[in-house]
Amino acid sequence: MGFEVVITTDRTMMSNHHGKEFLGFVATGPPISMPEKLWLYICAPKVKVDDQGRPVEAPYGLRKIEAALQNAGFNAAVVDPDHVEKHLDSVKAILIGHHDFFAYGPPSSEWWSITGIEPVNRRSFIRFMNSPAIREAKRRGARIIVGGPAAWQWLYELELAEKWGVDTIVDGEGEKVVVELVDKALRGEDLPRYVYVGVDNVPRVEEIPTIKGASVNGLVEIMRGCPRGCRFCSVTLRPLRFIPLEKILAEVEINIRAGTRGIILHSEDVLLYQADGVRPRPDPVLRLHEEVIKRIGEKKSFAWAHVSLAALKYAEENYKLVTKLTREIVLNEHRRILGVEVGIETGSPRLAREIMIGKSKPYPVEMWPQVVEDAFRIMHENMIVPAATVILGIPGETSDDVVKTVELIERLRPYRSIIVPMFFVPMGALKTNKWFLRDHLKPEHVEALKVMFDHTIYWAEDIIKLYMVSPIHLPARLLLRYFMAYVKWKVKKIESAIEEIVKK
Amino acid sequence: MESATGIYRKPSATVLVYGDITPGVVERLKSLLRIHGSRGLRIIIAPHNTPRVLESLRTFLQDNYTFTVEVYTRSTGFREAESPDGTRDVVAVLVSSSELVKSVPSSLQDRVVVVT
Ligand code: SF4
Repeated sequence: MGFEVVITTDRTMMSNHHGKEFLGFVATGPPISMPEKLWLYICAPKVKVDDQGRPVEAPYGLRKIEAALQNAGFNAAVVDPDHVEKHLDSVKAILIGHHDFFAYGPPSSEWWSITGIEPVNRRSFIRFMNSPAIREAKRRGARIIVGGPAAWQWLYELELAEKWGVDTIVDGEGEKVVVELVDKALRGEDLPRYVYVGVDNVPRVEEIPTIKGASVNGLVEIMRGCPRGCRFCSVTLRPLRFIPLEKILAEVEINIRAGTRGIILHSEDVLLYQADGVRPRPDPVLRLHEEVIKRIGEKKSFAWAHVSLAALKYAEENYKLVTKLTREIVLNEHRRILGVEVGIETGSPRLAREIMIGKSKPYPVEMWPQVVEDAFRIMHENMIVPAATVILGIPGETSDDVVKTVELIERLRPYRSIIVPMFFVPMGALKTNKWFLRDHLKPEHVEALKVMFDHTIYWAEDIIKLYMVSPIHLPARLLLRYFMAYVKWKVKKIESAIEEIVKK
Repeated sequence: MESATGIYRKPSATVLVYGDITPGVVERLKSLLRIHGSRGLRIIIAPHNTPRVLESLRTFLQDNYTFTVEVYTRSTGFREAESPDGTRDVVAVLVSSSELVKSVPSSLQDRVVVVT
């Protein structure tokens, strides 16, 4: 018997990216230099499924929705996009989640605005929505509910929502509201076109369900929310909740049993687990890592989703916590590096004060560039490899701010890392395909882009060697090398052309 | 529906909007959200053209980070668009042109605001 509620998404999301979360980002680029199929092979290989089309690994957010619905007694499951057709006779509601439905989020929007070519993730999602299985389900009366962190993007694609018959757009944490919506959908009741989940409806920690199946690359959430209050971030507006250790370990075990290659601890700031405000507390963080590593053993991979540079500096300087975690608990001959995303955003204390005054805490915002430098040094010494973001073009930014950012990035050269620019692209601007980054760049932006690109290329080879060690990664590694060589060549070619445009 | 995940708290303040979503309507919705947002706001719009309705509400919706907001659209008039819990929870009826006032049911006439 098929499922009444199918939870799904397109291929760029429903993939384990060869066990390398970072490769998932390749889908945010446009398919240049090689056929789209090859891009998809690099970034989004198909996942193993059972006879009902349920994937072995699925995006964590979809797993949470699945758990919430199953706990509420619904016949619901996550289904791979290639297998939705198996449930056409039974499906009454299709729930679709995504991180970047239409490629309006970073870094997709930058790639798109640089090249004028639609990124792979957008193409893949549009193909999925137009696929015969989704169209047929709709024709048979299934309700379509979309949500996830990129739900807001639908408000810029309302014609498509109408064309595809999307019934409801859900913005915000979905575990509670989804039960209500699916109940209504199955009863054939009127559904809201749009729901924003307010703070009164986010689940309390004890209401967050434990996932029932493995998540992509063993991602497990350890906390929700963030206390730092950056102006451009909505995560910070939600209540801070620490997931209890037993629940985290239960999800780790679910993943290990399903055979995921490792575990990624997900939080906006892993070192703030059970913290005292913005000051890390070593005991809960050490215990968490000891217990997780005990369960995953020596050979499985391990990564952090995000960490803040200020917490990292504070934890090391006060408790030697980073050294203890990496050298005594996490790293060994099989796990040679610890990958993590971090936010630099700017090298200008003035701009930092404007947009992210809490990011440097407990250090004063004037110290922000020093915090970044110290944290990068600590990470380098402890084999933590950050993928860092820098925001350019944010309203209110001055030339001097960008110059300070360039100077900071130059000082980061000795530290193994990837630095990615995120150019502020006004919402909705890309849809018409007439907004190009090159028309909005100032000379200092070009300099910043060059410095970041040089930094990343300088370290890329070394990182790929450490990151993709297994022989099974060889084809993807070769393709990545080829792609890097192509990008280097292409950037050299367009560099002078962009400088000319900017001068004009 | 009860679940281990916890029960969704449905909005208990309803605003009915009849006619176009004019800038005046959006401004009034902002004030209503400030006043009644902690109860959750259900906005029911009739008659509608869905893409246009949500587009006109986009900034209003994106500026809200705090309160639960549901937007419904109906293709016919107020009779269908009344609050599912009766008129009790209707905190305002926004009408974008005075000609439309007469189609508001008598039980809701005391809550009509014409916003052009
Ligand atoms: S530190 Fe990161 S998650 Fe926290 S508020 Fe700032 S941008 Fe958001």
